[in-house]
Amino acid sequence: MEILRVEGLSKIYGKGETAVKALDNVSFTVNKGEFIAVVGPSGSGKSTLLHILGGVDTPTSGKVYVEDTDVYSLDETKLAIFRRRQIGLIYQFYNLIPVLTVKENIMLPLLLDGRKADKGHFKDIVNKLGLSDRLDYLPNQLSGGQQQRVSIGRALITNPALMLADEPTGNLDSKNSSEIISLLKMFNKTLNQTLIVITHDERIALQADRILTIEDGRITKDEVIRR
Amino acid sequence: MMRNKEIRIYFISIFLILLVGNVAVFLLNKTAGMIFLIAFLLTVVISIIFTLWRYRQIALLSQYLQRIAGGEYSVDIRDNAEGELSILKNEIYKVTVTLNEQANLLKKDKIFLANAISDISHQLKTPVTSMYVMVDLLNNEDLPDEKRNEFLRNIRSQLERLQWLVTSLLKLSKIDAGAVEFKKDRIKIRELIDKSLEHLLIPMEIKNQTLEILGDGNTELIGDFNWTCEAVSNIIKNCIEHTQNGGKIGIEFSETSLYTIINIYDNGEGISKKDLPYIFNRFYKAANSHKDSIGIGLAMSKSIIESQGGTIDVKSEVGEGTVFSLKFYKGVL
Repeated sequence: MEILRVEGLSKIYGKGETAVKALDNVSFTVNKGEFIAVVGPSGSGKSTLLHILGGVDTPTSGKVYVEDTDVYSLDETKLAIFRRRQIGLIYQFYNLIPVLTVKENIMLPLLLDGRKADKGHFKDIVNKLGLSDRLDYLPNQLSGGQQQRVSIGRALITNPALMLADEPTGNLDSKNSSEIISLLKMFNKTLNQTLIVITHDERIALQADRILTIEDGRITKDEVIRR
Repeated sequence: MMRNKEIRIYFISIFLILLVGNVAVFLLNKTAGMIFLIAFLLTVVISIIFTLWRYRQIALLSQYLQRIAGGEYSVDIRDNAEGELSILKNEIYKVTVTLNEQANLLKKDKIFLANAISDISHQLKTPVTSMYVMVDLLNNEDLPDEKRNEFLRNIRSQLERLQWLVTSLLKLSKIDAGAVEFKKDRIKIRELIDKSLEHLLIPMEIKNQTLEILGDGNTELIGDFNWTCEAVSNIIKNCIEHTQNGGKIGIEFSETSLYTIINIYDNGEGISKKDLPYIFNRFYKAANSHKDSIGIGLAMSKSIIESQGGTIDVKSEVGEGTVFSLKFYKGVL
C-alpha cells in the first residue's frame, strides 16, 4: 500500500544568478512498512528532501502526498496538525525540550493534541526503548544514546504514518549508533512502521530495505536490498 | 435527535429549570420576565442547533464506517482540525488503514498458500515416485544382493528426508498459526549454542571445518530455549553446507542494555546479490543450493526469531563469506 508519493519535487533557494537548486524534479513512492535509507554527499539535498516530506519546509514546485493527502494544499494551521498526527521526526541533535521530563517529552505530540496516551501503548514503547526507569529524568541527565531513544519514543507515540530521521546517529559513538539503528529497525518490523532515514554511514544504509542515492538534488539510484 | 434518550432528558430538565426560573422572575418583575423569556427561548434554539450539528457529525461518521465495512477503504475523513471530533476522525482513519493493510496481507497470504501447497506437493512427489521405482525393482527376485542393499539405503534416506520435511512443515504451520507458546526463560547463550551444535559437530568434522565461539559466558537472552535452538542450528547448518572443506564457522555473541546479539558467520561461498533478498522466503532455492535443499530451514529460523520479537539479518560477499545477525530485544517481552 502506497503511503508516500512525491511528484516532481523541486526546491530552489535564492533568486536569479545566486539561485541554488537543492532539489531538482524528484519523484518516488514509498509503500507502507518500507525502511528506506537516503544517502548522498553533503549538500546533495538529502536534508531538504526530508524537511519537505515532513512538512517543515515548503517546496518551490511539485507535490507531496502522504496517505493521499496533498500536504502542501493544507493551510498553515492544518499543516501543523497534520504534521503532529501523521509525521514522526527524529533529528541528529535530538531536539528534546530541556525543561520537560522524559515522560513529558515522549507525550508531547499527544499533549499538543489535548489527548492522553493509551497507557498500554506508552508502556510498550518505553519498555522497548529501555527507558522505563528513566521516565522522570530531564534530557540533560541522559546520555546521547538515551536522548535519541527518547526522541524515537516521541516520534512513535502518535503511530505516525511516516517516521523521518535526519542523521539519527550522526552525534553518537558506534555502539550507540548500532543500538539506535537496531531499535528503528525493530519498530519498522514489529509495528510495520514506515521509516525514512538520512545517513552518511554506509553500514546504516545497508540495514534498510531500499536505498535512494541523491546527488546534486536528483535521485541517481534506487536500489532494493531486501523485501 | 430526539430518539436519543440522553437528549430527551437534557431538554426536559433544561426546560423545567428555566420554566420555574421564568415564572419566578415574572412574579418579581414583568420586564425582567420578558427579557428572561427571550433569553430562555434563544438558549433552547441555540442548544438545539449545536446538538443537531454534533449528531449530524456522528451520523456522518457512522455512514463512513458503513462504507469501510463494505470494503471501501479509500475515503479520507480527516480534516486536520483541533478538537476531539477531528482526533476521532483521525483515529478512525488510522484503524481503516490498518484494516486495509491486513486485507491486502490476507490476499497475499492466499496466493502464497496456493503456491506453497504446490511446492509441498512437488517436494513430496519426487521422492515418492523414486521410491515406487525402487520398490518395483526390489520385487525382482533376480536382483543381486549388492543392488538390493543400495536401493534399501536409498529408500531409507528418501524416507528420512520426507520425515524431516513433514516435521518441519508441521512446526512451521504451528508457528504461523500462533499455536506455539514461546517460553520466556533466561537462557545462557553458551548453553544455547552448545545444544544447537550437538548434531552439527560431526558434519563439521567431516568437512574438516574449524569452529570458533567468541563471547562472554554469562551473556543471556530471554526466549524459548528449544525453539531458539532450532533457529540457531538451522542457520549454522546452512553455514556448514555452504562453506568449503577446511573452512571456518564462527559464532560471536554479546549483550547491550537493549538487546542480545548473536552473529553466526562463515568464510564460505557467500550469497549472490540476486539471491540475498529472498533467502528467508519459504521454498526459495538459490542458484548454489544444495541438491537436497528444500528451502525451509532459514524460513523457519526467521519465523521463530520474529515470533519472539527478534530480528534476523544477513550480510554476504560472494567468495568471502556470510554473516547472519540475530537480535533478541529485551523490552519486547
